[in-house]
Amino acid sequence: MKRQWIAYPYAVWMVIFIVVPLFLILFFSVTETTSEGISFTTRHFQKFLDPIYIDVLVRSVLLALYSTIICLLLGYPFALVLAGKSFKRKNVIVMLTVIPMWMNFLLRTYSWMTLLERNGPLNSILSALSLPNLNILYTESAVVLGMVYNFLPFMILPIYSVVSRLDDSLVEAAQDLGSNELTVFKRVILPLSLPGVLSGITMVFMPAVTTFVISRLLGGAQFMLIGNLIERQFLSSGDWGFGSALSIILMLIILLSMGVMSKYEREYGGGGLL
Amino acid sequence: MTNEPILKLDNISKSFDGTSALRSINLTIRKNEFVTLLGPSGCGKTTTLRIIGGFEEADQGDLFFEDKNINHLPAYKRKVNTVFQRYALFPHMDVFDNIAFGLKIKKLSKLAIEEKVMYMLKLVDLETFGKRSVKTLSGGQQQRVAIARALVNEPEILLLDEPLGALDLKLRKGMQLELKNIQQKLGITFVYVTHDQEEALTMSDTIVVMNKGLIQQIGTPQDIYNEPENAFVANFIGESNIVDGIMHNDYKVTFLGRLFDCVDKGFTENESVDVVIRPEDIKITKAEDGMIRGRVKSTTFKGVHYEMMIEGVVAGDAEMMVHSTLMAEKGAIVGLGIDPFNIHIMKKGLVE
Repeated sequence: MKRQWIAYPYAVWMVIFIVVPLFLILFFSVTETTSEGISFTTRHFQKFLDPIYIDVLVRSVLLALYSTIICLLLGYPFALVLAGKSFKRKNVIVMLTVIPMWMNFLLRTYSWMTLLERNGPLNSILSALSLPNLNILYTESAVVLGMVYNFLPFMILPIYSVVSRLDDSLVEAAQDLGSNELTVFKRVILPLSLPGVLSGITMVFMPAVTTFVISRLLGGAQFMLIGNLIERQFLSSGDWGFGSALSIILMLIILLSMGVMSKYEREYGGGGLL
Repeated sequence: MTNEPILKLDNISKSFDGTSALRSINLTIRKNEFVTLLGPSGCGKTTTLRIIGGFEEADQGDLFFEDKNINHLPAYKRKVNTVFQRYALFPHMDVFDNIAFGLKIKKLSKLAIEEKVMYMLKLVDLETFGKRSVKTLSGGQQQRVAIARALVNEPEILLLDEPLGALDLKLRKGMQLELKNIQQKLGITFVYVTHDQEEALTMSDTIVVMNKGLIQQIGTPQDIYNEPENAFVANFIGESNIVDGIMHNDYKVTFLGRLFDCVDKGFTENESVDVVIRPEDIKITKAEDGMIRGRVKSTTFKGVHYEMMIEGVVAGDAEMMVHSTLMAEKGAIVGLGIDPFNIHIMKKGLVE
């Protein structure tokens, strides 16, 4: 590698904005500043063992899990149909999937607040059709809805990219060897699309479990996820030590789930976006 | 070949987006026959194969399998298996599972599957490869797996779509012989698609030469080579000199400014014809002994023979290609001798 120097600016960038902050978080999480100076402590991690905080973590993981499952159930068939040969105007649909991602994330979430309001457009329509009103704003359902809406493209795109690259002759070979459509799906398309599914799950679950904007806007003030808890330690409580400890715990959970994912991905031969 | 017919294509036509790919194809394939569909790319040979395999449906015409119409029978119900051009092995399975794929769908017992797969692995000389990932195999090995995967289902007909195209010359020659052996050993009908005329001549019982969606000639390799029915076939199979001629009467033809005896008859008087002569059928003689004379324009050494281009001195600007083990110097005036039975007369206008 003769041109290693080309990578230096990026390396410097990464050290300043990724490596150093990571060490700072690690440092804050295991130290406390008292009148006698800085000393080592496990106090912040012990504080997390309080059932209140454990509950917050469990709720965050569960809501992220629900969103991921719903995204998968919606996104997989959609990606499959989209990648199918018979589908005309494929590019238009792919564009329509991507376009919302160009819009500011906050803006998209705010618009759902308006839509879901007690007297908002959605309920007006429901009333006009004399259907029962939907009051889900500031509930867990609204948070899950917000997550699914925001992260669905991250499920569709990796699956689409894997399935659309599948060699047609593999499907024909399976038919040739006696598979009907269902068997072709079960034995060939599904196993070969798994790398995309795993990428999709990772790309939906990670941002969903760490979000604090969706939960605050659509879940209301009384509703707390781990992201909100961390945010509050830094911005209002000023307990940087506890905030850092929570961040470390969250990071470990993410690293662990990514480790499990990549193990599966290796077994199925890779090919996803990650 | 007097075996009973197994597959019949009756007046099959097919077009894609208004471009016609096959035009009224009539073909009967017999049991245990090795049939090769031969032609340049875009001639419709692969489309024909895909219609037999059930991956395309003909626009017109009928397809009969043992006298049963199978026009609308889906691929997975046909007693036909295919070896695909780029093998199409399942990348998420090892060699054993690839070969066992069809058997598992038929829900055979584990023991039976194991036995059949092992037999196939032995047949294609990959006995120790069962647990290997197909991605780690060389092209030739993948090819064998693809053949084993198709054959293990004991198809009535095996379709092969340019199966040796991706292999190097030496491997290809070896596989040609091996395929022919397998076909004779198992007694299965093979329908083989290739653009390689040498491959077709080596392996086939029957060759079907195709061009532009039309069948040009059906015959044994010897027939196709020695008695091409039209200029396209003559040109496509081996190398040929094709010159204009006039057929005066039966057994009398004029070309290159001279009257020749020949062995063809049945043309109208003074009909314009194509005269085809293989380069190896022209003898180089002393100038005064030749039936026609010419000047050697170029001489190229080709290994077994010399390839010489002879400019017509007597007959204007016609050039003849001659293959001979005897060399004539460039610029020399030589005579050319052609035996009557090596002069092939063809009707004009059969090729579009």
